[in-house]
Amino acid sequence: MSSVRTTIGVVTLPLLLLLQGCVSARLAQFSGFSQAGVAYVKASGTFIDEAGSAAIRGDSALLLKARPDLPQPERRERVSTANKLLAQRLLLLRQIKRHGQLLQDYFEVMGSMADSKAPESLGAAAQGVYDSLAKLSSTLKDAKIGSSTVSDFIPSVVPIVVAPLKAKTLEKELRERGPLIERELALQEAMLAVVSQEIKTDLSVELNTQVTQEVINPYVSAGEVPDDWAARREEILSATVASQSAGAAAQAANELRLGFQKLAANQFDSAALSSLIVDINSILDLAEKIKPPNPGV
Amino acid sequence: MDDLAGLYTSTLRVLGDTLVTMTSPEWDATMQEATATQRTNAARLMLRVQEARLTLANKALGDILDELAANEDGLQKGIKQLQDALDVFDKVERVLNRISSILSIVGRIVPLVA
Repeated sequence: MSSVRTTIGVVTLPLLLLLQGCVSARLAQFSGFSQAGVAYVKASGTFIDEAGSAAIRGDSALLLKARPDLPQPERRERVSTANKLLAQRLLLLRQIKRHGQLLQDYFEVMGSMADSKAPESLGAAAQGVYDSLAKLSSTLKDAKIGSSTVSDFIPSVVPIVVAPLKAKTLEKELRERGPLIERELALQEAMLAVVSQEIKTDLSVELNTQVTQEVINPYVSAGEVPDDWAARREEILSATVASQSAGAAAQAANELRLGFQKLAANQFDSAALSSLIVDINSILDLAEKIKPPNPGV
Repeated sequence: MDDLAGLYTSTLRVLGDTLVTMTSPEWDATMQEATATQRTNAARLMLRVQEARLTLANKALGDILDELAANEDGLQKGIKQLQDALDVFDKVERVLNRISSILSIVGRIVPLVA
């Protein structure tokens, strides 16, 4: 279990108790959602990092596989072209991660607003974070990282209905910017759907070459199989299965967006929070499983 | 526009599927019997497919709509033929020919190195 995941687990338990028993349960819902949102951003950031690494590893696997059969003068051109194209992809992934970090800032401000004495100045902070989000998202909506424009994947609008709150600053914030934040969450969901599609291909390419080189070839050869052959085989085949569940990240983003809608409408209960945390943990599980079997070796 | 977006999606998908096939143990086993020329041709095509995939993926759909529309029929036919060749995968030469065909069409939509 990763340390990040442990942190999420530790944070979640008291929140669940709080949601069930506290008299100001409504405000506690916002604290819970805010912390879950922060945990989501950390988890999706890990996943996006892994997507970038997988893209490079997949491309390297292709270059290495082709190298023995390529005339030497051609190799330089091939690797230079690939470097340039990968750099463009990594830039896009970095923008997606930045978008998530701005959402994290917003969740943190929202968590601070979950207090009946929260100052009105927090509204200005929320406005500032939203302005940064909107600026970045206009670039990202036209971005390409795979088999469709990101905007093709953006889910339809979920209407945000705000139930009355004792924390007036928070209520005002939700009425003013709730629908806009819902769109930013939809964009995040769309981007993770695209990243998930691409990571499947990149991982399949990498894992295919590993199966050939580290599982099949040593077994078929006349010599002894390496001592760690069975262990490596298990690692590679397990990662192959995990790579097919890359959609878990988009699922968690979807839960977060629907959770936000429920939160505003006073329908976000402990079951919804619990379900959201399960999905966030599934991103971390996925990121853990699709890492290279022997990093740093 | 929807049709062209779908065509774009299908093109990228078939390019990804091609790479997965060309790195599979089954492909490697088949290539054991290939000539040196065939192997070089396959290696070159594999990298060109990856280049086409990354180049297309980094382009905004709006930037290549006209080129996609102009090559719609050829691309649709090329995708179908390549997908069929990948599904059956009985002759390496046939797969390589289909890859060459689709790359020549993709090369009319986005500039590729070679």
